[in-house]
Amino acid sequence: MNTDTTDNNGANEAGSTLREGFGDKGTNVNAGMAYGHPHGEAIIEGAKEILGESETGRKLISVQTHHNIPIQIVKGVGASGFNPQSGVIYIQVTPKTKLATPEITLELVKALREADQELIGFTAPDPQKDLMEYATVMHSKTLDAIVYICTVVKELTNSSHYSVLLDTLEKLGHINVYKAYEANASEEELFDAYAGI
Amino acid sequence: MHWQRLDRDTSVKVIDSVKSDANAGMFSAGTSEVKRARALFYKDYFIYQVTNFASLPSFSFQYLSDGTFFHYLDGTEEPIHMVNDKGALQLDRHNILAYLDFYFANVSFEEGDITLIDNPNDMPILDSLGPDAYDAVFRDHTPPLVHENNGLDSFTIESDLYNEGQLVRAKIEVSAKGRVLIKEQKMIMHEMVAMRAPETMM
Repeated sequence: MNTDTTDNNGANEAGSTLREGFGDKGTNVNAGMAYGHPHGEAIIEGAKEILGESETGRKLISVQTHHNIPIQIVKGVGASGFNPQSGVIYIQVTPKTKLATPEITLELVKALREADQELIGFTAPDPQKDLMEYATVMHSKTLDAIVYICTVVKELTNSSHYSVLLDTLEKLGHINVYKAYEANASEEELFDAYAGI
Repeated sequence: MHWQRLDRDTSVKVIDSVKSDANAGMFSAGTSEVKRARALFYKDYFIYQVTNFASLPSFSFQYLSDGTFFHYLDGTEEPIHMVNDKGALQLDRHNILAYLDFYFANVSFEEGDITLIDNPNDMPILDSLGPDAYDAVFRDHTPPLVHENNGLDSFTIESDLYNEGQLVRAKIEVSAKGRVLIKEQKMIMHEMVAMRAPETMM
């Protein structure tokens, strides 16, 4: 996955093959592609149960419930988060996973906070207008969501989940932000930890 | 892998083809990009990637397709095996490592994600290792060895693998139909502590 170019010849070739596949009337031969996770419901419930032990987690769930924000667990290995366009939280989970893992739980915190950001007007500006401003806001939004993860983990210090959540923070690359957060770091110090400075 | 960004019309057709009613919001032609890349080990099949940039991190989904049927790479071996069983897989000693790399990138295992280490200098993921482990990778790294078994029936690859923070030297058997079996694993750490894992069919 090293290069990324536009190739009109390739596109035309693909277009030709695709037209054959779709037929003249654009028939979708792949109708019914299934993304839904077979254990999605159990995974959401499990993650919410853990979050329910934290005050911040309960608040995030309450906002999600109040505003009826859908959470969809989809099969996959990619990123998770809130899609502001559709207003849906997508969590990608490998189909072999049957229950909520610490990683899924923390991803859910991040996605719930991203949805919350949208509701309070902390939204992304148009990247076409000012790319630098867009990048700055997106980093601020990401750091804000990570701080929410840290808050939830800290509130679960005395729970049975704490040590494994701490390991997961390390795995997700958020441990330095967590250490800074625990040490009551300033906003600038938190950003330095986030940026790896 | 060389990715080609598809033009708008073709992208819309791909998106129409892979979207589902149950998850209609996942893709939108306005904010999504479609790319495709040729896989050296597949005849007539390409890897397609649909990325929705409406959020950061962006959502990306990959598929194997002959331009007609799209097989969603959902983290299991099933879509890969399905395409392989259609006779699209053409393995040889020159593309077997690329296939394994692709396979490990798209199949999740209960013990965690597995990455084949061909050239450690090209693997930023290793930066996350502790200093001792990082040094061990470079000190003890041996490039992958490919053996052909019984003509073209199967291959055995000896290679370093990275798995959830552990580095192992493994013997991996790949059949002509692309089934992957890790047969032996030896941990690479300091004195090369030997460890034999139970055979795992993937």
